[in-house]
Amino acid sequence: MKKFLLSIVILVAAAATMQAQQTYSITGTVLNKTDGKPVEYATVVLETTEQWAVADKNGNFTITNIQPGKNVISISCLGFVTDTREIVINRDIDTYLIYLPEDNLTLESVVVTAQDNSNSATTSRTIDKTALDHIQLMNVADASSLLPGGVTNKDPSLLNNQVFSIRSGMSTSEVGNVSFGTAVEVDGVRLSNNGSFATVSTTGVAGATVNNIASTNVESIEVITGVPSVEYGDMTSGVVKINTRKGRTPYTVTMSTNPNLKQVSLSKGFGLGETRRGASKGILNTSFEYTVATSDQRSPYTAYDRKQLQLTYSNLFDRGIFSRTPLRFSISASGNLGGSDSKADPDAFSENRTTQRDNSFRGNFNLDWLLSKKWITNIELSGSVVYSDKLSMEHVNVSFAQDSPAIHGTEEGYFVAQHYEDNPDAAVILRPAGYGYSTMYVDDRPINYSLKLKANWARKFGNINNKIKAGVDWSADGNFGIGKYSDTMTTVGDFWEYRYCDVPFMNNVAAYIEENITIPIGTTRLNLIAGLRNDNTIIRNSAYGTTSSLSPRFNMKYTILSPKDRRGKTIRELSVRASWGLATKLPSYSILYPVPTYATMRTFASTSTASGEAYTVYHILPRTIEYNADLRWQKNQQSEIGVDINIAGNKISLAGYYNRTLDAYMLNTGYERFTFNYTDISSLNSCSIPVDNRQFSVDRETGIVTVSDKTGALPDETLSYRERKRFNSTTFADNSNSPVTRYGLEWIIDFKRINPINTTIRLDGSFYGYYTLDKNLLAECPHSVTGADGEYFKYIGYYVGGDGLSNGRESQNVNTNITITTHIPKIRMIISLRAEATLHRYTRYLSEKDGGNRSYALSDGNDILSVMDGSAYDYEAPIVVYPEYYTTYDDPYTHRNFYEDLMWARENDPQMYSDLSRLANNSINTYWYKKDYVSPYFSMNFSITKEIGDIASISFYANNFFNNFGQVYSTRSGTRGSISSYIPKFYYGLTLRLKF
Amino acid sequence: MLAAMAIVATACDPKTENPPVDVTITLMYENEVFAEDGITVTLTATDNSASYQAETAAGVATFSVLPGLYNATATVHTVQTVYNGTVAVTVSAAADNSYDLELTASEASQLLIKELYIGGCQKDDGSGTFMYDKYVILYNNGATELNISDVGLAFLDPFNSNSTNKYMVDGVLSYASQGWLPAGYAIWWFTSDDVILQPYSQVVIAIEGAIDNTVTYSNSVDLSDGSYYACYDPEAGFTNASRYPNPSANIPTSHYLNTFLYGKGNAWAISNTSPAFFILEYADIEAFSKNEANYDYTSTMPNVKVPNEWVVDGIEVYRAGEEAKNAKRFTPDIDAGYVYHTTKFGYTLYRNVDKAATEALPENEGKLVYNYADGTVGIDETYGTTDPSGIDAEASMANGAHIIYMDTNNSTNDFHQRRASSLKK
Repeated sequence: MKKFLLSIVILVAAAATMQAQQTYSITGTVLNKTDGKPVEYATVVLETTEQWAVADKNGNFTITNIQPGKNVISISCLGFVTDTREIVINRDIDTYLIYLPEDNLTLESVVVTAQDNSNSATTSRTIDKTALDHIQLMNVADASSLLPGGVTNKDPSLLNNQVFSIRSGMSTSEVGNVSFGTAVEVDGVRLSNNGSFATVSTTGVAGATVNNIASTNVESIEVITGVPSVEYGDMTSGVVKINTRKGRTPYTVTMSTNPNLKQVSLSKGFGLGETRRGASKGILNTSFEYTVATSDQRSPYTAYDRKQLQLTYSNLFDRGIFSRTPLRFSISASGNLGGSDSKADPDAFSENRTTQRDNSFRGNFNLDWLLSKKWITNIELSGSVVYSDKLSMEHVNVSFAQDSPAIHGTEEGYFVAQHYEDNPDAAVILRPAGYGYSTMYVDDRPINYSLKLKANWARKFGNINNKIKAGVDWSADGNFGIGKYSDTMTTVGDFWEYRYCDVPFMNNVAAYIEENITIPIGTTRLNLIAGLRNDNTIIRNSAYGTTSSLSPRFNMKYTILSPKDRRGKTIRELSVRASWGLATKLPSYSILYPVPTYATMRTFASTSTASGEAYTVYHILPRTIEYNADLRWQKNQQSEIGVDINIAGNKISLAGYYNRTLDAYMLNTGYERFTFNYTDISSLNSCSIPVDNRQFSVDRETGIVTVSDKTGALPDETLSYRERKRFNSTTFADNSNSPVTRYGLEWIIDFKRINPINTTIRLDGSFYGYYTLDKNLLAECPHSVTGADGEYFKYIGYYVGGDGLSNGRESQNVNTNITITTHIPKIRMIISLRAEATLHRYTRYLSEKDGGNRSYALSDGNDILSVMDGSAYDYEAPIVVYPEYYTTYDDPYTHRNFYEDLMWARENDPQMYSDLSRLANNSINTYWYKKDYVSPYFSMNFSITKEIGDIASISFYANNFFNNFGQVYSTRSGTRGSISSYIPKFYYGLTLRLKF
Repeated sequence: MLAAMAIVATACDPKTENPPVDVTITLMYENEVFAEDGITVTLTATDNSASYQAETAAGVATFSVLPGLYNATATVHTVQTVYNGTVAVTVSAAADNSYDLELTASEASQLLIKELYIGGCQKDDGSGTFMYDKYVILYNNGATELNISDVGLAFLDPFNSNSTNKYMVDGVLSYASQGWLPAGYAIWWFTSDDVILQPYSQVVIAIEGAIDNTVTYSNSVDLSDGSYYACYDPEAGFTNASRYPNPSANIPTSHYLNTFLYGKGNAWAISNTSPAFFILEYADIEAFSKNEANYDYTSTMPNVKVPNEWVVDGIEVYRAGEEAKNAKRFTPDIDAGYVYHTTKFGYTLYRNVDKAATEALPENEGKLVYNYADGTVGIDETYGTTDPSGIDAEASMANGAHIIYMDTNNSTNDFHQRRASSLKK
């Protein structure tokens, strides 16, 4: 094998130095199959040599400098069916004539399912416009349901954030930042969530939401679930490429409705005519969409809307100096105004309202210069910017029985609460008793921009096709938001200012190179791809400095039997593929710069007077955030094998994968000791100043409270106090030392079309497995628990994977779908019936550690020491989790043996025993670790699309149209539950499209 | 189609399909028939849609009711002892409908929960409910002075009557046979050693908001009176400033109740809707609360196991509208019934007057006020109740009367839902 690879390398090197060889050109015409008219702007691509041309107003095109030999020519144009075929170019071809059929339901080749990209060496599937229209896509994330084993989205409204999450499970509680690691690109513009400061949940950082992408203007969606090209960085869980419509189109009006959503759109691709010299002025694509979704079909008051305008200008320069080296150019801008708004329902209390903007601007340009040189084929330069405005506002009525403190101070110290009128800058503001409104804003404006330069070199050396791709990317993430603020400081609750815009930008510079070689071996064909990507992330003026990471990736595809050679044979196609690769995900700001939090304690509260006057003292302590200079970027190790086979017209596609997420981002908690001075209300008992004349002040450093006499009649009095001790939590970003494993098998079987009834049947599905065991040693001080001495709890336990009853989970599920599609070209109608079945759904909570038991079964649920021998898995009994060791407030550095001390304390120190007991997490739940198999469940969807001539089409769908109200059985709890939490509710929709 | 509709219509006719059937309830005490005549047995549909009463003959009561699910309850009140019992009854047209109702004996107490106000009231601006004004009134129901300084306040787990009860195993409360009750969260105790209740007098304890809450919320209550007591102990961890505002200067610190938080949180989580609230008496509640040996871990947070014999009085509140889920938490020896409560409208749970005993007090001659009209019958359509004695206790007390309240250890008999707090005059 080594020799074989070596010979390939030598061959490539030698070939690269070969003298110039004869090249040819191809000139042709692209015509509309229906009326014979030229198809202007049709794109003609020679895929083998990566050369291209665009047809002029007469449908004519020319490509020059073509190396001789076999090639693949692909002709595509918006509104037409792409024509791809092999071509042998051994001479100049002057009259290549192509008739492109219009893309409509009169064609037999129409499909409404995701299609494998047969040329790809990794698993990649494309969902085209017809399929998207047929399911009446309202949210691009819904396209996931068309992937193998895909499940219809249970939430048809846009009120909740929708994200892509590739090759992840049905549970929303999976760790490892899956959606964050899924790259989503719209026309090459990356939707990044790196600039987000949103709170990191236990499952990690959320991915970029896609609610604000206009669905009607989507032409196709490609989903790369396997190991992608090194061209793609800053992702760990696959790539979703959303392509919008580009090209000349008629006016298209779309009107859609379902119980929760209304949508109308208008689009048009304008040909801008010609210059005096006959050059094209290009195409301007315009699209406007208005979508409004409501959470409750009976009420319009809680709604999400998007108003989106997209303009794309594209042109070709192929005259003058560009006559032999044409340059394609496109520039696009799209703006969205919208968001969610819970307007005041007139039936409810008025004026309460929450809004969340979802405004965005996406802009990009792309230059593709075909050089067709020996040493370079083409060069691409692209740039993009995505700016979002996610300002949220919460306007709520508030009322207080007594002047009520709200804390805003960010500096450490003791502070007396004061009215805003007396001190607008007070660290603690007293909100006056009575009624009012408070308004809280969170200004969140992330921005991401990038510049990419890529060069392609495609050469044929004999029968060997060689392509090299090399490029450099620069991208930056930042946030212009100012975080939380309020214009109602007299009524708003606790909040602390944290200006996102003060956080330094995160820059990433990446370089990559990829070799793609295709070698014919007899009648077979071997395609090898090897790539390496290097990311360098620079965060100036920060603890993180520069971080470098390498992402090697390899793909292999061996085509054993090609369809063209196998007509009439039983096995008509056979290919296998294998991939392995590493991918790196940059962190989000919520990991790098978590929003600071503050420990606040009410250290004194006076009595209140008859007039409602009350004094309160708070101690404010900014919680320490430790910036982890050793933070590593999260990685994903992907492995995949796949087989594609066609047996007598039945196409079978299989893909198995094994992915491991390493160094997953997590925010961890530490603890630091803290003492403060507390003044009990009873200290006022000795105060001789009359209640109504008391005025309080506090020493910012010591917390000592002084009472003054407003009348001046009596001298100041200092109140007695005592010192109290407690732990305060700290936050730091870390990498998990425990991998998250995901594995699975995906299958698609497209049965041979049953022509007499115009019907195709697809059986697709997926087996998915998930396993994680958190072995990080995590500190936990029980929250809101009082020590047995009545003081703050003074012990910290250190647990493997936290103090939960489980530190991991394994799950598996098998989903399978049968789609029966009847397509009758003569009447231009397509009907599909889809059954979604979850045949196997298994979950088990795990509690394990290296070298012993992490949890124990108890013979008596009320005795945490009544542990039984063996694994807790072996029993259906109450359980307990002990810390590995513990520390105390007074001796924070000594790791004490928990079990031994607990045993000792039980006999000798009841108070210590009571406290240590709180570090043991026990439950009388006897089925915690029991395997949970959920009984199979099903749902049925129905869709129909009918074209009325060339001017209109209408689609209707009904999801879960049997309105399944069944129940599922869970073996873990031994109970039955409603199926409604597993399948979509019954809903339906209608879309009308007009073209003119 | 018409035939099908006719069949459906016919099937829905209860007169032809479900005629009334006989049900016999036999009162039992310590495995023998409690062969008394004239004891009222109540048969209440579990969905609260119907209630029937019948008197026993030799300990057996007979009903004729439609098939369905019922609860049968009975209370026998003697001078010193109360016999209570309840049994679930499934009335079937095809089976024998004979059930034994086991009675348990308990003693009547001189210290009572006179009123429990936990449901909050409407805010003045119509924006919702204010709920941080909970209080309880304890009452000396006898003619002798009481020192209640060893008394504590507690509630049972689960906090709401309609919540899943982890102590319910196969339809039986697991602690019923063990002689203790699971007190959730924390138990409050008096800090003063000298909390004296004169005969027929009361003490108001502000559970939350020991201030004049009417300043902002006119429907609420003024809990700032100097004679009142207050649950206030921020050092114990109850630091929620909304529930525990700076207490009124009128209330001396000696009137504060303290506590130890063995649960988790920053406020005492007594239910807004449906607590099983009780008072207990023990000399050192603090030490008992802090002793891990007294904890039970059946629930999410530890509960303290309070011996039944320490329980002085209790009230079982059921959440209105949750008939399908409401379930008893007190065992019958503590409290055999329940009182429905509609939350958020300022309604309060108020003890009924023992008419016979009150009228029998010679000093009440001419001081009792009748025609009590402060119940919620008529204003709370489904769950409204009133005091069947007809005596207006508050008006009578204002008149100088001594009221003896009903104490049958059965909240169904002992309490009604009053339309307004008794503190609102």
